[in-house]
Amino acid sequence: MAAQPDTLTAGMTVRVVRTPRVRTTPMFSSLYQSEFQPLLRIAYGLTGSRAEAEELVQETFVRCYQHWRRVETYDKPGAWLRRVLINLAYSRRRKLSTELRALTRLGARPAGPGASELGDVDEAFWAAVRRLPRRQAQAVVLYYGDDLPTEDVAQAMGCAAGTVRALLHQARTTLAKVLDTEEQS
Amino acid sequence: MTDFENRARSAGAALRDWTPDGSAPTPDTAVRRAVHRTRVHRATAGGLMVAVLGGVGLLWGPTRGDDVRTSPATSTDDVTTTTEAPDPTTPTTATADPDPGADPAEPVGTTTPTTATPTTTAPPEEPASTSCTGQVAGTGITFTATVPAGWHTNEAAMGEPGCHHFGPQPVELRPTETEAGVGVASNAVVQLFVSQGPGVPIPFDEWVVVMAEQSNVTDFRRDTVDGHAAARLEQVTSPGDDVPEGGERYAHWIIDLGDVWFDAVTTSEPGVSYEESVAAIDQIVTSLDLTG
Repeated sequence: MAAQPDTLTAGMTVRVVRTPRVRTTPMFSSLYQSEFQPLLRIAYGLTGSRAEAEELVQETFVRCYQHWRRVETYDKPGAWLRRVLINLAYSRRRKLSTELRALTRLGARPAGPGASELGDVDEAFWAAVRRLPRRQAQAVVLYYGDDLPTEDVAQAMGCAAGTVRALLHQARTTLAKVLDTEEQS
Repeated sequence: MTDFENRARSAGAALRDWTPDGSAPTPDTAVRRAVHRTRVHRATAGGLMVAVLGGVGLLWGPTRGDDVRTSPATSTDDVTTTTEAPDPTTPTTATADPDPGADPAEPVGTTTPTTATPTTTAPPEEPASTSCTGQVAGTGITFTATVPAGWHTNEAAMGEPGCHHFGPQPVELRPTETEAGVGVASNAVVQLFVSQGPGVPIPFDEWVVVMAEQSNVTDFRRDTVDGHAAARLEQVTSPGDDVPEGGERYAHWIIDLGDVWFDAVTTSEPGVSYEESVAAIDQIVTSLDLTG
């Protein structure tokens, strides 16, 4: 690389670099660094698509920044992030299923699944989780995938810990049956 | 510990051990998007203010419509869409007569804006509206719809018909996984789709009565679209439905076409305000010209 001159002289070409006026607070960056990967894993557990997961996590942080004055006052901003993420994931699924209904009526044939990031056995487990009712799936992803205690899952889902335990019980019953059937077949 | 519990914990550990390869987006990426979105919202609000002030100025100014003389659009044989005449209260916009050669039976879902040639030297113009043609799935009904000025619609692809997705950015369709397999997603803000196929389970008139009484419906009215019974409603989600705070707003049109109901839906999406989305969906739906 050529050495940079110390002074400007006539005829010298100068490239003006305009730095975007973006204020990333240290606290926001710190939260982003610590939570990006865990949120990405939760999103992947809920969607089964890395591209969708990345988009959802980015959107979660966009909303976080938009509400930063409030979020930075929270004791557990991670719980708020998880709540936004799982709701965005649900919103996206709902929107996609609306479009899918239209496609189904058109006779369009669904294509095959995308590339998987985990092993076959684990992918099969998370695929079965995604077929659960929404609240059960969210509870399973947060409890087993994010390894949160039920109290923290409850905080992220905005419900009581007892509700989380009930949702997990229902999910375990369904999943055990579904996975057993899949393995036998 | 049961076999299931072992398997669940193993799958959980696998998910936590997963380290995505490739570079991850930085915090600045999220911040830029947030800042951009805020600016777009402010610009939209500012634009509305300018429009209001401009309207006031016109009321106090000279007679409307006398300021500028414009020429009709030129058209080519293969154009299937038209450029609409703009609002006469916008004197600097070039107008274009609808192309009389446009054939609604042209291939479904194509959009080609007609060239408009201004004859006056005027400030930079607002983009003109275009229109597109589509088909109501499962029926022999075709339609034309106005694409709002500066907006885009989709071409037919991946089994998805054209003229069904609309947005302020060029509309891209992409396959994506859903709970029922793989569907098609898009970056569109307004979507058209068939919500009830043949054998509609509830008469439209009964459904209208039920919907009008829903607590989360903030605005409801019966209407007609090209002579067909229709309903327009706006809803707001409750806390926990969408974002934790709730408050996500949706605008929805439902048109009773007899055997099927044809719907349009929109909500606030990144880069476009809810108000702009609602203005767009209203323009698209009320412009529908249904044939067959």
